[in-house]
Amino acid sequence: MSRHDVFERLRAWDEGGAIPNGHTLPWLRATAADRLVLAFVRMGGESSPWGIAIGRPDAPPEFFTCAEPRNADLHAAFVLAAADALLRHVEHPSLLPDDERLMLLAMEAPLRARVRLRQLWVPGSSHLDMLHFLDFRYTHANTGEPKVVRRLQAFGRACGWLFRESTRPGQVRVFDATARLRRAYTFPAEPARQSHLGYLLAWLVPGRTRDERLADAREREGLPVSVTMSPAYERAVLEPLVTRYNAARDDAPAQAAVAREIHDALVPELRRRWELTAQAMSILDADTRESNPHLDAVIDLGSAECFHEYWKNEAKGLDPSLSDEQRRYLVHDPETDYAPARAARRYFAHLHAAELAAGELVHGDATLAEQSLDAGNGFRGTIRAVEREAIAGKKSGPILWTIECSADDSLRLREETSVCLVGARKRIGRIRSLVTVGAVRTVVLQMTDGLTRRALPDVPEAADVAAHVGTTVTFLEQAAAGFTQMKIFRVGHTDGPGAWLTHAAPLPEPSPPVRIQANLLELVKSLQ
Amino acid sequence: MPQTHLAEGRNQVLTALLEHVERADALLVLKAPPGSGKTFVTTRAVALAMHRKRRVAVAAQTNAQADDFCRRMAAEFPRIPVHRWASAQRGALQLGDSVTWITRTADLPAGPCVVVATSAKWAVADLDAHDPFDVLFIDEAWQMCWADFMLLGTVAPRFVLVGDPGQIAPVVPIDVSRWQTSRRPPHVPAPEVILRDRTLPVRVIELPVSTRLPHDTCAMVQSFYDFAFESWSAPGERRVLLPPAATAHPVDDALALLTTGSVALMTLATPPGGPPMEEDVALAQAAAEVVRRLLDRQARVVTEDGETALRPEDIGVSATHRVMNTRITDALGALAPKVRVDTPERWQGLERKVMVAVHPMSGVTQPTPFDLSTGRLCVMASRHSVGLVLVSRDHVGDTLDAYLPVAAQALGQRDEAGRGRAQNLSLWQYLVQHQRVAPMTPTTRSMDSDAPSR
Amino acid sequence: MRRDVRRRLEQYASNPRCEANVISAVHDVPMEAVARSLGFEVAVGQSPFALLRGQQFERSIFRDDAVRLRRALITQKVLPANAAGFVDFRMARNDGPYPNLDASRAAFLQRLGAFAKTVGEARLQLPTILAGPTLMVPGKAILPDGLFAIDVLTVHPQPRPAPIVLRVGEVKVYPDRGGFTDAAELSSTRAQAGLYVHALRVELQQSKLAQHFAVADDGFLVLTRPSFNLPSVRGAEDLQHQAERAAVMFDRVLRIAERTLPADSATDDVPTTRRQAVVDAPKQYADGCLAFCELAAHCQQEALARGLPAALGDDLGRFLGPITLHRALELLHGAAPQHDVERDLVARIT
Repeated sequence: MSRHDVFERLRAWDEGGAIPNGHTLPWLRATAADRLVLAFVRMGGESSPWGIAIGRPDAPPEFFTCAEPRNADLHAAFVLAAADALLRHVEHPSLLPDDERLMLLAMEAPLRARVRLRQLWVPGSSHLDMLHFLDFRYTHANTGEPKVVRRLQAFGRACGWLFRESTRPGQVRVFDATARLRRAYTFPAEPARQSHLGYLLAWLVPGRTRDERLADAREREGLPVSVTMSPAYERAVLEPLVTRYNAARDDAPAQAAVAREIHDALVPELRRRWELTAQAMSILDADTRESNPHLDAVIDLGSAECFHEYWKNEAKGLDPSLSDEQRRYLVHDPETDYAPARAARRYFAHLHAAELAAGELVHGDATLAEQSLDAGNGFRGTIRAVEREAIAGKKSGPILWTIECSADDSLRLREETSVCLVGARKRIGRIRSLVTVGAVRTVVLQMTDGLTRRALPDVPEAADVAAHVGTTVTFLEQAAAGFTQMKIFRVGHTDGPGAWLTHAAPLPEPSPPVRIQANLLELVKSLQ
Repeated sequence: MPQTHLAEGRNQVLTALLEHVERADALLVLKAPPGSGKTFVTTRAVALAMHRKRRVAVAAQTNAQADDFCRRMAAEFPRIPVHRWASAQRGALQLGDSVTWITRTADLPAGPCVVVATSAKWAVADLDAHDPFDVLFIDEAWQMCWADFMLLGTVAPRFVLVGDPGQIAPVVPIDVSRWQTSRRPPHVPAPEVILRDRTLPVRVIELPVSTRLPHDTCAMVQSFYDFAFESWSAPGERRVLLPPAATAHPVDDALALLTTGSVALMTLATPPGGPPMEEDVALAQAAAEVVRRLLDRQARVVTEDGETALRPEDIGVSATHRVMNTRITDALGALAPKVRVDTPERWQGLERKVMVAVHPMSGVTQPTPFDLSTGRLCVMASRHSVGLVLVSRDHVGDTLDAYLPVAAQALGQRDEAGRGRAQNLSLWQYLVQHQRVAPMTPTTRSMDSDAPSR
Repeated sequence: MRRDVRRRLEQYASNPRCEANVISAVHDVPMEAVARSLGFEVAVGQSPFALLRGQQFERSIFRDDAVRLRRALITQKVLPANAAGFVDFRMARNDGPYPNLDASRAAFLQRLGAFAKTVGEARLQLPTILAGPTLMVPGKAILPDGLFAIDVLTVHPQPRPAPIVLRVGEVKVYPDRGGFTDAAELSSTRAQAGLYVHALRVELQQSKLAQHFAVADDGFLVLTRPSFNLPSVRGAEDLQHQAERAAVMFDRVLRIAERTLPADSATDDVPTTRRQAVVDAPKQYADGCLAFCELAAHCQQEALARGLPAALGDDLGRFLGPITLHRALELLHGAAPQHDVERDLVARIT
């Protein structure tokens, strides 16, 4: 727990409610048309949903339930009914005319523009897990009429992609409302309690004392918000209904009537979860803080991920000429990436996403910058000198900035690290030296990028002594985002001489037997 | 007398490595405990490969390691030309007469050669225009994750991975749940992935001798390794000598232990309300006092090479938290520029005659798997060639004893929390059982003396 | 009922620093009863659907000579390809042949005795799957004999004189999601399995069979494939340190059990006396209490009223140390620190 976290949680307790965390929000507010709110309930012990609530935040949700979720056919039919809303939200190519699909596949940019701000909101992490379960259940569905099977598989894959996307660092596509509230505010509560959406929302109700909010939060905690309903409710209400439903299997009208009762019993549970999510979204929308102004690259990366990791494969998969083998290659396994190259590629992609998000957002939020400094990822100090290094035989050497900072902090950086200027991040320097004498640390930076007005029109040139000496500057470590991104593409090279090991290519032929010289130790000594 | 009979064991391992190179076999993993001479054996293997007219690539994890390797080659094999392939942004260094500094891919030599670069450099190199290399040596291989290793598949068909399995694993800064059950998890150290795969034609050899670590330190750190190794030095051969002190000092009891063994644990009483977290100023001051007292008492060190005075440059200090290192540096005052103070991550690959280390679990009363991971403690406990003073609050043994580990690791993975607890406890108990523990005697006023009890 | 000792051990381990929890666990005073006696509403019980699913799943994997389970164990290389044979020690209420745990245990020990005597081919053809074998760890003081029914054991015979290896398996109905499998469920499952490894070693020792058998340090889990009723087996589960943990827990709990409560006399209402002992015992609220203790809400309220920082999280508790919430806020608002610990805190948070 950092000093900042302690201070903020104490302050929240002092103020008697949740307090804002950060100067900005690390996501954009989307329109209702670009948003979908989704909530699930499940039968105890099952990992598939029993009910789904789904809809845009500006209209009442649709409720879909299954009378007996342990019946595979009934469950498939129920899921099919709910699938379209989700597939529309992800612009599934099967819902588009052929020519439009082919155009989007060929051009990429228009699809990316369409999905750029699409957001899926769920109450909490157990609902994200439900997406994963649906991936397991339906991505490889194979029983039933072909058209239905294809639709179920598409739904499974959509759920799977959304789940995987939810785990990608910095993503702004899939919103766990509980996690987003915790990101946006500090709550005066222990972490274990902060996984309950209702509990968190109680702390955000304005015009109340701490004790009033605490009492409200404790009461709300009694109503479950995860996908699991209360065992008492299952015992008292749902179990008798399900028993009656199964008993009426030879009486279709009676069974249909019980199915409606089951639906009516599940809807309030679904509604509560859906509405709490919508409420969390509204609170965040109404927050006075702006979105981080440096979100563009993060959002663009998200659109690229959507296209390359999901939509493109779905569109290609609709090609009727593809073989089963080719089609299989387009599908991600729900559990893991079994192929080593794919696993490595996705690993680097996630690393790149984390670096990009951290590297971009820190320049748009003073709190993030302070946290990064606190973590030793940068320094703040006063420029004492700006000069050109004299190099024999050269007209002008590199520009050096000498910066004095306090040595009271714990700097993680060292010589050769590249750092960028907060507020003008194209201006980059490489640490030439770090010298600490007493309480003062002197950093000498060789400025390498963003030196002139061409790169940074609104910033004095790096060599401008008068403009810089005496000013306070903050430098943060420059994320090596480009390098990791390069690795994503390079790790797919399967034809190198070492691919038999690195990429599980066929083993090479063993080397022909070699007669080993008797005394290799002596031989090596003789080479010295 | 050094345990020269152990030389045979080391020579056998070196011979095995040389034979592997001679036969041009595909894959070898060399496990090297601290100070066991891995660079010594690797330079010899590289020299042999070059002598057999092979194209040899060497990948180090950092520029400093790559430069160091070139210096060693230049010093020990001056007739073997070596190319140091570096980034154009770095200024050229003079690493030895036989070392040529190059920055462009086009300057890579044709034919038999030795080229040394960082693994990052090799990873993004476009080698299509060049003949493939015959063998790739990877130094500090346990510091390289599998995904990064995959990038080196473009370099050569044969691999020799060398490293210390007890050291700190590469930091994984993201959630890797998706790949925990992958056949080749991308985040796991490359040698671990190779060793788990029984289908691979891999030869595994282990260096059996540490020339750096004193005899009793070897016994102490054994629990961190799954293979046996011994110390080159005989029992008691290396020690600190201290002239009698004119006055008493709170750290003298701990220093006295260094005259009879290579490790001392100096404890500070844990305040009734619990130890400070992260920033323990009293502990930082205590660590600095140990350094100061050693120098004030004009300590000398005895090794197989004789007796010498202990200088500030011969002492190093390590703490896991940067804020502690800052406090220790403050407390060292004028000594600070001469005594390196750093985190265990930065201490990897380095050594000093005497080390002072803040126990990673000091201040931790509810351990997490991160706290229990032994890589940092193993590094801190293996940098010294003569003496180590561990400083710690005295709750650590009780904390470890009371702790009931929770095995929450992903499916099929090793129980690192359980293992970490067992190894940490084993080390602490070793020190207690061998009477290597000395409380720091209180001064007239300490940081903790006014602390209220709970 | 007989699985109580396992539950009580885990309750103890969940917060060994809380005296009330320790007394409740060791002296078998259900916390639910304590909570009710204080006037708190307690929600108890599992989902009826989950209970049924668990029972059905277990039955399905052992049906027809455990064909489904065997296939999965062979695929995951827990058992060799030619593995055969199944012996059922389960109780009748779980579809097994035995009326109670004692009968199951007696049959299990007898069978182990017979295994130990086999030689040659017969030894190598021993049945490889044992369902629901029961064993006992003798109690002491107020801890009763612990009767434990292991979900499943696999048998790995080797030619004499090598011991027959027994491997502990746990059957759970939560889904195997690879790296995303619920960590809390996994840790609880491994704790259980480790307890069984330890208990099996103790049983073999006391039954004088230890020289014929070795209990493997690694075990296996039988989970469900997500959204299906098929078993998903994961082998090579590291149980070594969990077994050590179980041994430590037994030892500690037995030592605690030897401490006396207020002496129960013949005229005492013993349950009330013991409940009161829990109510009166010092509490130490921690983050994890919510997940297992019926008194958690009450303890958290008390902790907040007393200003204990752990009421807002263990991490905050560690950071503030002995300083109460009230005092921390005063310091935050500029109150002068009274001693070094307060000065230290002020320096850290400002």
